[in-house]
Parts: sequence; structure tokens; C-alpha cells
Amino acid sequence: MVVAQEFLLQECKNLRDLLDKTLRYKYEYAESRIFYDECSERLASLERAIGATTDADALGHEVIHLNELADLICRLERSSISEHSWPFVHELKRIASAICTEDTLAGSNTPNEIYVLADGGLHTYRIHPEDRRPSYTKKRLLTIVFPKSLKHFVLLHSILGHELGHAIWRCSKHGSEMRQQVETHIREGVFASPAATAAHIYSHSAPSKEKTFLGACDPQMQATTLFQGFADWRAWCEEILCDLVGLVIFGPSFVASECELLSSMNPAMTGFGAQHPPTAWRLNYLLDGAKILGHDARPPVSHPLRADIDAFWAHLEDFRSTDPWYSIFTEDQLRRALNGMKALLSRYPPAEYPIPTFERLEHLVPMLKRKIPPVGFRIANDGSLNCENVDFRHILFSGWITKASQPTMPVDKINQLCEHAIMQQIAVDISLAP
Amino acid sequence: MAALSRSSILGRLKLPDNLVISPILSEIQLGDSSVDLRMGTVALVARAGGQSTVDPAVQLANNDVHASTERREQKHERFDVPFGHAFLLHPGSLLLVPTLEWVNIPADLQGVVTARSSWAREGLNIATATIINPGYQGIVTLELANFGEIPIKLYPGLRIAQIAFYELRSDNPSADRNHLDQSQFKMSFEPQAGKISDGDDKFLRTHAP
Repeated sequence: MVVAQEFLLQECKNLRDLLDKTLRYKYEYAESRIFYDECSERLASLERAIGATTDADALGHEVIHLNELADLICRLERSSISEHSWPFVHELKRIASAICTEDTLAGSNTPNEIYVLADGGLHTYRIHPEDRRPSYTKKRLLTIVFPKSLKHFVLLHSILGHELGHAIWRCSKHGSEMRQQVETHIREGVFASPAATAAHIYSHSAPSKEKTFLGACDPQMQATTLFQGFADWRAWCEEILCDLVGLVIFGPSFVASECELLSSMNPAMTGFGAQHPPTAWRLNYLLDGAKILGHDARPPVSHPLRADIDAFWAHLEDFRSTDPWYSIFTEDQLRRALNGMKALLSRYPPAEYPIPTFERLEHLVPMLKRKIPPVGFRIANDGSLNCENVDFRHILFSGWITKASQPTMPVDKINQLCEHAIMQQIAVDISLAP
Repeated sequence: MAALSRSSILGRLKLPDNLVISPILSEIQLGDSSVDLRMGTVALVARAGGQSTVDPAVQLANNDVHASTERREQKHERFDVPFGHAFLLHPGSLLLVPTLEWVNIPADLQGVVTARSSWAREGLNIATATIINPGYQGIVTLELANFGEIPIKLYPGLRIAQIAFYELRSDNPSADRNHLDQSQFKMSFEPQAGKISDGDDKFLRTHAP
């Protein structure tokens, strides 16, 4: 096994060269040093481990780690800060750093290190949490992937609330608390068991288009076999919880982005995936959840924004499937699950979505209508300049409201104005800091 | 043409659908007859080598799309410079940066952007006094040049320019307003290379005798 050992040590050297090349570009908003040092430390540990043994099994084990590290370094090497919206990433990281933490030797709330890259198109949104933290390192890396084609489309980026759910589920100290929500609140009714879910999918009351979908599937797939090789019931449960996390973190913007993305990727809105429950179920419980959380509050009829906010929610209601088959949770069940997620996320500010006042929206939405980035700045009647902190999720919500109420305004311009506003708001926050 | 004073600028800023400069982070930005502008978070720098040339002929729309796009894309290198990070402007270099502020200029005003004298004394100059036309909406592109002999570190958020406003006299306001709607750079989000060949294509072709 000396040949293998020599070869693997050479590969470590190759990877170190590759790691050095990553510093040709600024690939991270914050400090590229964090990732460089982390990868460098991992590489050094692998070199030591490989150099210390010629045992075939032990070397085989190290090859797996070496390949994982090579993949990570190559992703770093291909990415640069100019390929994604760094102002959005700045805000997303504040949330992720608060909630995606774990117990390590370095502390009881050690945040995961977050690395961002841009790649691909619509389907690309995801977070890759490392399933396990290498024993010789203090850090676990989260890789957040944005679609390269949607660099400026910050309104849609709210979908990453769902992906944050996966990160919490998989790797943070809060994963078990989140999974407990499934046992306590989700495992009832349609989701009492895989058999109960399969029975609902194959029930006589299912809409005809769903029956048509099932008819076109593999004939081997039946109610009794659905979750025995064709779909993963536990993955569906995880998806549902992650949707609820996204809702609690991003509020109405999350519902809007999920409606737009899921309906665009599945225009017929029928069927399901091996890892994902039916799209129409998801949109229905998100719309119900937003109501339960009070996100759909309306100002008085006389309020200047009432028609705009009505237009936003009316647009989202168009995505609701009205057949009762699509509503899989009772209101009480959904309320308990959402309250469970709120109880978790509210302990880690700024993770929970802060519902904006109508006064806040009354400031932001008209700015967008006037084609001005909606930011926390105004000039009072006495001529004084007033800067104020504005949560970036309120900027996104004002963008969605404007999109729904101003159909002639180009969507890309609304997105760019909101992205610009998030950047400007960071400057405002800096100026207000003591 | 009369320049607006501080109170007139503030008066305009308070009016709906009039002059917009947003955000103004501090009172110190308001001068007696101008408003200081801060550096934004993008830097566009001309890249020597590769396919980079300044040749209006290859920018013509009816030319080879591949060639004109390739040259345009390779001419500049774009950098995102978040707050707290710096960009180094070397002596003799030209750098395009946006302002942090978003500016809307009403139909009866013109903006003129110049360097702040304190920076000019350090060698940092705005290459041309930029005129911002009425009807313009967006960031202001600053063409920065280092006329000194030592590199200058630029940080987003620094006040590096100032804008003054002048009232326009118009003999035919409705005709001027109609012309505004055809403005070339509406809603500009970041610096971009100028369209130096637009409207001049007749002078960029070989003419047979």
C-alpha cells in the first residue's frame, strides 16, 4: 500500500496548490481567511493521517475525506463574490449564524461556518450542510447555493428560509428539537403514518388530475408500496417542517417565493417527488400558516396601502387548490407546529420574522412605486434627516406587495431596487451604530 | 441657470415626486449649495490585455455580436467591494464607481457632480465634471482617477464627491418633457461602459469613393 500512500500524499499536495489558487479571487463576503485556514487545517490533518499508515482500510477511509475536501475546494475555486447578491448574503448569514449552531469544544453555541456560491438556474437554491463534522476540526461548513442566473432576484431568495430549515434539521444543536415537532404535531391525521399518507394519496376523494398522475406512474407503485422504494415519507416530513421554518423566518415573502418557484417548476401543480410532498399541499398549508401567524393582517379600508396589500394576498390565494383533498392539516395541528417553530426560532434573534407595522410599509412601498430603493431614510417636514433600521425582510415584503399591485412595473427592476435597498440599508445601519 | 442653495435643496427633497437623494446618512453631507455623495460598493476597472480596446466601431449593433460582446465583457473587470473593505486606486488608473445614493433629478433641474476638494488634494479626481440630466434615475457613476504618485485606498461609504443643482430655463417645457422619456440611462444600478458609438455609426464605416 506504499504506492497508494505516496499517491494520496501527492494528491494532498495537489489540493494545497488548488487551495492557494482560491485566493486569486475574493470569493466570500466576509473573510476568505476562515475557509482557507479551515481547509488548510483539514488538509494538514489528512496528510498526517495518510502519512502515518499503510493499512489499506485506513487509507480507504482517508480517501473519502480527501475527495470531500477536493469537492469543497473546487467549489470555492469556481466561485466569486460578484456572482451572488452579497447584501442578501450579509443578512442571510446573520440569521444562519444565530440558529445554525452546535455544541463543540470551542463553545456551546458555535456557529457553523457559511460558505456561499452561485451555480446553475432556478432549481439550484439549496444549502449543503456537512453531514458530520470532521473529528479534527471545530467547524462544520454550510454551503449556501444561489442560482447564478438569479443574481439580483432577491425577492425569490426568500426561498432559502426553507433551506435554512434543512441546515437546522441536519446539523445544528436544534435538529432534535425540530424533529420532535414532527413527532408531536405533524404525525397526526394524514401524516399519522406512512400508511395513512399513502391512503390519502390513493383515496377515492383525490381530484381526478391527481389520479391521472398516479395512473401514469410506475404500475408497481401502489398505496402499499409508495413509501417502500418510490418515495421517502421521512423526507416528506422534513420538507414540511422546513417549509414551516421558512415561513417563520421570512414571512409573506417566503410564501410568495415558494408559490412562484414551485408553480414555475411544476406548472400543472400535480403529483409529488420522491423527496417532496405534493406541491399543492405545500402551498395550501403555507397560505393557511401565514394566516395563523397573522402575516396577512390588513390595515383599515381607508389606509393608502390597503388595496396594495389586498392585491398581494389575493394574488397568492390564486395558488391555493380549493379541493379539500389538498388541505392535509387541521388548523389546530398547523398552529401547534408553527408555535413550536416560533418558540425555537424566537430564542435566536434575528431568526424569527418581525411583522412590520403598516407605517413601515407605508414608507417603503411608495418609495418603490416611485422607483427609489426602499430604505430606512426620510426627510421630515422640518428638514431634518431621519435614518432608521429596517429589517431586510420588510424590504422584500414591500417588493412583493409592489410586484402584485403594480403589474406594469418590470419585475427585474423591482428586484434590483430591493437589492440596492438592502445594500443601502446596511450603510444606514452602520451609520446608526454607536 | 441658478444654483440651488441648501434650503432650496432641502425644500426640493421634501416635495413628493421631485428631487431625490437617498439615503443621506448625515447632516454633514449637506453643504451650502451641494450635497456630498458617498462611494458605493462596486468598482469597475479597465483591464489591460486580453481583448480590451476602446474602439467605437466594434460596439456597433450591426457588427459581429460575438466580437462586440467579447470586447465589451473583457474590457472591464468588475469588483464588489462590501462595506469595511477597500479598493486600491493606483496612480494613473481610471476607476468607475457608483454613488451609494440613489438620485432622481426632476425635469427642471440639472445636477453637476465634482470631486470634493479634500480628496482632490490627495490626488483623487473625478475625471470629468459629470452632468446629470433632468429625468435621470439611479446611482451616479463617478469616473475616478488617481493623479497623484501613490496608491489611494478607497472605502465604500466615504464621501468622495459632491453634487450641485441648477435650475433649467425652458422655452418649451412639454417638448423637453417628451424628450426626457427617451433618456438613454434610465434607472442605472451600477457603472457601465459608455455607449460611445450610438448615433455616430456613419463615421465608423469605410466609405467607398
